[in-house]
Amino acid sequence: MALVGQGALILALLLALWAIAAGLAAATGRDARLMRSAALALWGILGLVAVAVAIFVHAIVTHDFSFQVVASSTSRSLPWGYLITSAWASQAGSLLLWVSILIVFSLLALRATRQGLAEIRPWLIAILGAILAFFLLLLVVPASPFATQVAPPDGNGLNPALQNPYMATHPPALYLGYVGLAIPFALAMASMLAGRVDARWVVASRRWTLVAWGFLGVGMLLGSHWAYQEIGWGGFWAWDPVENAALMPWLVATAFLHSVIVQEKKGMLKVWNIALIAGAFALSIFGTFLTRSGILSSVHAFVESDIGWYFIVALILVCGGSTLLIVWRLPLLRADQRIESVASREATFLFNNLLLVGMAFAVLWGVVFPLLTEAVGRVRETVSSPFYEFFAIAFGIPLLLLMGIGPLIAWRRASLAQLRRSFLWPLVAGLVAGAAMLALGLGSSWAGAATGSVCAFTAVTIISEFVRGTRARHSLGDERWPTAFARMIGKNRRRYGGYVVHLGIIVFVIGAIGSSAYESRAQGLLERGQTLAIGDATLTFRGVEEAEGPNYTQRAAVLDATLGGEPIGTLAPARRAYTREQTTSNEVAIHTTLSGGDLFVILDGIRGDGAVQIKAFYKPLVTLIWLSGLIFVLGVVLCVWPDARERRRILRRYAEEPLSGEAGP
Amino acid sequence: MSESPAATPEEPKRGLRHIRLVVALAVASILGTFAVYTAFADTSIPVLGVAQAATGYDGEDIRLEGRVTEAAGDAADPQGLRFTVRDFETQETIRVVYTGSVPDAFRVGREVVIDGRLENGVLAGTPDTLVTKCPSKYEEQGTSTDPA
Repeated sequence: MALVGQGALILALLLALWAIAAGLAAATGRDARLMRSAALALWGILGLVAVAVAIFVHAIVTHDFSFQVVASSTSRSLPWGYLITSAWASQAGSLLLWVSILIVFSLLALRATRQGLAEIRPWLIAILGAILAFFLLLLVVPASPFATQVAPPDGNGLNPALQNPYMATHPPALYLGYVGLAIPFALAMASMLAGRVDARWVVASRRWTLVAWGFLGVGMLLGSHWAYQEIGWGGFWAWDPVENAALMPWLVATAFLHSVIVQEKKGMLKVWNIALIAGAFALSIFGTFLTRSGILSSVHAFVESDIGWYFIVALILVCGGSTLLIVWRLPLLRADQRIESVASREATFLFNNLLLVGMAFAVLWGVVFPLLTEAVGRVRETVSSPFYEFFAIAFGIPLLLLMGIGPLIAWRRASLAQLRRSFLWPLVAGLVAGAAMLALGLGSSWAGAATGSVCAFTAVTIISEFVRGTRARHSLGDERWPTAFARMIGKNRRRYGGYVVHLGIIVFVIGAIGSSAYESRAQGLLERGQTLAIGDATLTFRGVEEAEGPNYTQRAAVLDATLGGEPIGTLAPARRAYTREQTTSNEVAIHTTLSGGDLFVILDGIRGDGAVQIKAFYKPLVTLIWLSGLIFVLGVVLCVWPDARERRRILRRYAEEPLSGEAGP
Repeated sequence: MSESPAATPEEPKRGLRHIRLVVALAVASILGTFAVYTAFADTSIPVLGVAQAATGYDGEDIRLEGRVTEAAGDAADPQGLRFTVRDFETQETIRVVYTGSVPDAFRVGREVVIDGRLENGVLAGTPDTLVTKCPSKYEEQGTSTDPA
């Protein structure tokens, strides 16, 4: 079976190469048969990848340890659910998932470009074929899921940190994000190659970017929750290189999603937008490179291998190719208009872009700093959390402020009277919130107080937009308030979806600031009957309990917890010893309070005499971080949801407007 | 950023210069913040292998990388977890004393990364900075020197 799987991947690689050749030939020779053949090649790849996936999954669920990957990442005692998720725990498995998503996305993108973008489709197939060929090459040569061996009686088992329900959602969500960015990149490059550099590629890629960006955001948040619950150091984000690898393309894609609005409405920032989407895709390749090459020390870099060289070549091709294309098409990429005033929406979008890209650059600098210092002949040096936190605050607070200003400021040029009318109440709200925080003694963290104040300003601007819109509809006709509210959103999903996402970001920031800037912590060695106090809470050690799981034994410290003097139950942080995997895992205990804070308890160790080392945190408002994920998803869904009216409007516009730019070569 | 040379005649040139100046100032302040912070803030620490660390870093804060060769004690005890890390290429070793959270995958044979201060050849680990690189026994490479 392994041979069939490997054969399917080799054939898929050959078909991808054919798709490139036929796509290029169809683009230059305008031969419809070649175009059909190139498209059929993509369907062929889909079938062959499906065969490879089926064989791989079959090997996993039937414990066929003659497959090296199956033996190295599963065992007979691994629970059934984790057997399935182990499919993407290994390097080869995750690359196979990558290719599977990419081929499905490629076919969907091809289908979505049938109307209005026919000229760019051959180029699109060629570029998608090239990306597919790269990942299939990785699967055929350095990271084959079908490498075999003499089957051992049992496998090595799955890393206990990966034996978590989040394994079913976090990696696939991130992959959907990383891979999704390939589509807008391919659309942008294909449009430039075809010489069709008007807003059509922007309109076509907007939804793709939103989906990819949404999945990246959700993937990061799921990973944060996983780390918070499973890794058990008491935080949700450690600025680890691999975490940063997902954050960088997300930040650049965020900038892109804003600046494309300016291109769509005003015909500006064309070069910038292409550079941004190329940057976002290059960073997604870079992220995979970081995860898979093991070049930087990371908790998440699961393997060191020579696969890194393949990614370096891919990165050079993506960055070099995009730059050359932009330079080639520069005469076609001139702006239709230009920014007239600093007090305009387009200007706030531009500043927002500068800050987002600045933030992404700072993160990139931090990630590659060890490599840079080594490259200039110094001892390898690294930066840690304070470096990243400085830039998160220095660039993040103005960004939050712009998030409030942008939606309320007029396009082109805002008048002073309009500014005063729009921002009076938000400004008052921000100042009141800041003063209230200082009065409550929350000035201990100036960043916390400043951020809280800016969050209040921005939240009020967003809420006032909802109120103003609803009131306008209500006053116009006989719509009741809820109807007016729902129809207002329904008729302008992108705009209000965007506001909902902004609200999600504010809720996230409040949760992040609350749980980090105002966190309390305590730790101590407790003997039976002893108590550890943390803020309003106490933890009294009652004893150690032992338990057996399906593939582990567990020892838990039983702690009676009180909050504000009232008992809130028993918390039992534990350490698990996995039999087959011969390793232990830390199981934290978390009690969520009504105010949204968490009492978070870690069992750091159990001494020979039965005393336990306990570390405890109280994290105010941390639940808001997870709640923000739901709001974020709601906003993204609102933005992405198909809008038949908008689609008709776009198609009408395409029919009326002649194509800008020159014909393809 | 692409700017059009084709301005409409009624657009005041002064306004254009104004916006360009503001954008340039915004870019400059972002770059300036970055340059000043990275130049003056002491945020980086050297990442050293065991053999490198043994050559004159006494009294300094470092990040040490190596493979655990022996381990005793408990991070929960006041005396802490005591372990030795060996260089990836040479036989040189450094002793480490550590209290704080111990990663799940920590054991003899694992590659670890830990922050701390070297004092008389012994690394006093900073609490909660011990990280294990993921064991290669969970991968198919078969090139692991991991004795586990």
